Amino acid sequence: MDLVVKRIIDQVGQVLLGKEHQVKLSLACLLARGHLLIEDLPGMGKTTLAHCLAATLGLDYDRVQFTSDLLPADILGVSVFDRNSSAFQFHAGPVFTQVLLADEINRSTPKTQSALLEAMEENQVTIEGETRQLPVPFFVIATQNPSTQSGTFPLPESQLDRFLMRISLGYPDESSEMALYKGVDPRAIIKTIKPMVSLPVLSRLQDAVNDVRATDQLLSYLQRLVHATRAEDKFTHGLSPRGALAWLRGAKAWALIHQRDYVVPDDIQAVMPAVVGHRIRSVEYGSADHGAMFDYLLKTVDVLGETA
Amino acid sequence: MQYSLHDKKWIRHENLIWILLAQGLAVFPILLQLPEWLWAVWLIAILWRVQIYRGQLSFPSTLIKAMVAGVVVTGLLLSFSFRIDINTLIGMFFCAYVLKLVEFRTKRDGLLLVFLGFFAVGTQFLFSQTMVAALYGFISCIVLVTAWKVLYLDRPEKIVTKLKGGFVILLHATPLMILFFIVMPRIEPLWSLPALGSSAKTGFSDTMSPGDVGKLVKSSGTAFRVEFDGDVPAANAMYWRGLVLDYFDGRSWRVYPRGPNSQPLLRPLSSDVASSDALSKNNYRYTVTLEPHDQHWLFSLAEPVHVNFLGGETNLDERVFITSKKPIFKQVQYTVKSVVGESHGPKNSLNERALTENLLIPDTLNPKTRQRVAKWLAQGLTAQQIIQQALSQYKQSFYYTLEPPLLGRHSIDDFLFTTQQGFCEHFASSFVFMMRAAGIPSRVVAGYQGGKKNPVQNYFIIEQSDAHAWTEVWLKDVGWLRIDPTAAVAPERVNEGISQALSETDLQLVGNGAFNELPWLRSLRQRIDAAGYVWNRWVLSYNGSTQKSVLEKLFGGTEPWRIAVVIVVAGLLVGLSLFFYFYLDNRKRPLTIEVRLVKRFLKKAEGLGIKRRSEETIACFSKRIAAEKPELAKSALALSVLFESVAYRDEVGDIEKLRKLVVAFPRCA
Repeated sequence: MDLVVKRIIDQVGQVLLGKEHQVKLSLACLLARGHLLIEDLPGMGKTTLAHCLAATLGLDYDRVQFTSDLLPADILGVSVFDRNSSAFQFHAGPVFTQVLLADEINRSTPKTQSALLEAMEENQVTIEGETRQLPVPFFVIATQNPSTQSGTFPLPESQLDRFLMRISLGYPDESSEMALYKGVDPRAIIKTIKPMVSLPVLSRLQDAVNDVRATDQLLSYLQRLVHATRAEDKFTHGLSPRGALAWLRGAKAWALIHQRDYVVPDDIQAVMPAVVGHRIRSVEYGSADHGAMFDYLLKTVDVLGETA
Repeated sequence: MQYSLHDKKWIRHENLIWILLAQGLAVFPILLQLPEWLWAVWLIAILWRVQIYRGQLSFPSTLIKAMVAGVVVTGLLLSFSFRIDINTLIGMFFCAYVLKLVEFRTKRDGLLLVFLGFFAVGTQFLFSQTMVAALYGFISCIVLVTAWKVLYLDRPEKIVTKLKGGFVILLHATPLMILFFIVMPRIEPLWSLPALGSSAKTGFSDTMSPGDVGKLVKSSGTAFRVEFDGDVPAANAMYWRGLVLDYFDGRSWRVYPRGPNSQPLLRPLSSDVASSDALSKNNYRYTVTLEPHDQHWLFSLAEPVHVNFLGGETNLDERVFITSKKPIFKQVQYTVKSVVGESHGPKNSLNERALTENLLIPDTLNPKTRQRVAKWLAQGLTAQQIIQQALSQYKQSFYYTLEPPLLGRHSIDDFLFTTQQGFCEHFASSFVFMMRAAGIPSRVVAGYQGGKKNPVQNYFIIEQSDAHAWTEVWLKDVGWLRIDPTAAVAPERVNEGISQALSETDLQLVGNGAFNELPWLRSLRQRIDAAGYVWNRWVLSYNGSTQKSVLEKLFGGTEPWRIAVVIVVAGLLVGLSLFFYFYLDNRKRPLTIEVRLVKRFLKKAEGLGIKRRSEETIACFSKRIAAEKPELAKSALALSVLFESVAYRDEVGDIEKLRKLVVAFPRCA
């Protein structure tokens, strides 16, 4: 099982050069049965990551390009009258897949965005009064442009909360970029990618996340961190219990892909920016400068159980 | 009867071993004082119980038990010739206790064995109350508490951990023990212990023949210890008077025998030795801790004016030595105030009886000596001149030795004219004989001279090898004047102690070879002696009257209600403060063992110049240490792995390993 995780990360890493941390985070997000939001400029490899991950995990993959005129039916599907059978025939939308890449999700209108809401939360969609199950696993990888760019509708907090993690890829470093220039076109590589894991194994991995142990000592650290986000003078709103649970689940998955069956504080710290970053907003820095906000949180809370 | 290992009520293999060990430790000192055949009883009881454990024998029936009890009781009565005294009772207790082993099957029996063990530990103090005995008792108690704890232990622990647990529990009880020691009423018949296990004592007897002091000097052992309160006299002035020998039968000196009609010469001494009053010059106040010598006299400097002896009544003999009404069978302490002067006693005239007694010599013995003295008298020499004459003849050709030749019937003649070799009693004896022959009242004083200061504690130790005999002469207008003839022949004896006055071969004999000790051994002995002295001074001598003064100081009185109120109030205060401490501490986030351990590690690392930042996990911190101090990399990384294993994986078993690593981690470069 350890080997599987390593092979997946290695294979995705061959395509997405120099982004091992982000690859691990997205895998952890998937193993924790959460959805991933990638926020970055166009052309940074968001789509490549999503596509590559789906191919490596041997999952169905579909992609929707969100635009300002995209309608909910374009995602969910629509019933069309079939003249031959004299009945409405449901034409499933792209949401009926295992990995859904929602590209530039913040370019669409809120109405369309919220169409994804039920799908992400409930693993089911209701179309024309009829509830339909989505495939298992169902994993949404959404990408969004920085909200400062023109023609964007920022995702509301409720929507952001549906994503377990938000990551950004950032520019590649020098050597990775050189390797990228010299190497084969990533899109060509993705086509040759073979699944590294079967569906049952993947589902076992997802189950294993729940079995990762978190001792009182660790939970106390997590709780003290969560509590620190609720300091009113520092944050406009703190982390909700759901956010805290998401944090724990993320840390467990992170521990699992590091071949541990128990969570250590390093796991909590490692997934903190990805899990917490889009859920809280600091008074001082807004949501812009997360680094300073996280520094503040970590410094305030002693790992060993004393409040500073 | 159903017997199952899983049943909580029954004892396990381990319980048996611990109980056997604890019982063995507890009864061993008692067993040494009891008839030898009781060893067999003990061994049989152990073997029997072990065979029961191995399934070879069964638990004995009531009939067999009754028979064994009968045999043992009969044996004890025979051994003690049908005397029922405390020794017999201790013997019975011992037998009952060890034979209880063969009935030992449930945890409840185990408890009984443990509790009786504490009683056995108490019993051993009937025989010996030294510090060594107390230490042994403490260790026995640790093992007993451990055995007690093991009875209820249902998880494996290392032997050291178990013993440590026992020790810590006992340590908790120590404050209460000290409190009870201080405040428990010392009711007389309970607290005055019968003198058991006494052995032959060395020391002066009430007669002195040639060779007696020499014999004493050769024996090892301590006579007494002295602690001065304030000024200390010079070593050559420390003449510890034991008794005055004024009757000479031609060979031995003894204390003058009193006829039935004679008045006792004793007068009681004032026991008022107030410690607060200032001492004038030549007045000394000191506390003597006297080892038992089975005799009546107590040692002091001349002339004692006050004595405070808590062990009983004291008297001052007119001949200036202190006697106790009861013989000294156990170690005692007394405080004396002495006025040390040139001379003491009546200056103008001696009473008639003293005059006769101090001039008496056998008529028919030692003619040569008499002739010589008669010659001096014929020359018309004064008393002073005769004394000088006698002393100066010692200076000419006499030899101070521990191994003098034997003397014949005319012992003084033989010594003065033939052998001319002797020890202090020879010089003292011959000198007094000459003085008496010359009509000068004189007598022999036996005691100790000098003393070694213990460098650890501030006291002097007087060994048997410091035994000495000297003389006193009475001169008109002077009184009794101390004259030490030994000082004439061997002044080093008085000034620097016996080790300087004797030849090398003689010195081998002193104090059983004590002067040949290696230096480190001597220093060790001095330390042990000092510890024992402190023990005697502060623990053993704590009796009813010292308790009274301590209680008055502590509580302002000795009434029970006063003590009870103080203790209850103090107990409440301590209890409340503990309660609040833990209450407040619990409101804070309590730290787990592994966090406390890792904090010790962090403190050590801080001492090495690496401080953890609060956001840094132990793993990160250890990596930083590894990077900054590669020599510590291994232990730091191992430590962080263990900490994670305990704290985040609940591997409680790793706590001990973690503790070891933390302890082993270097403190400071």
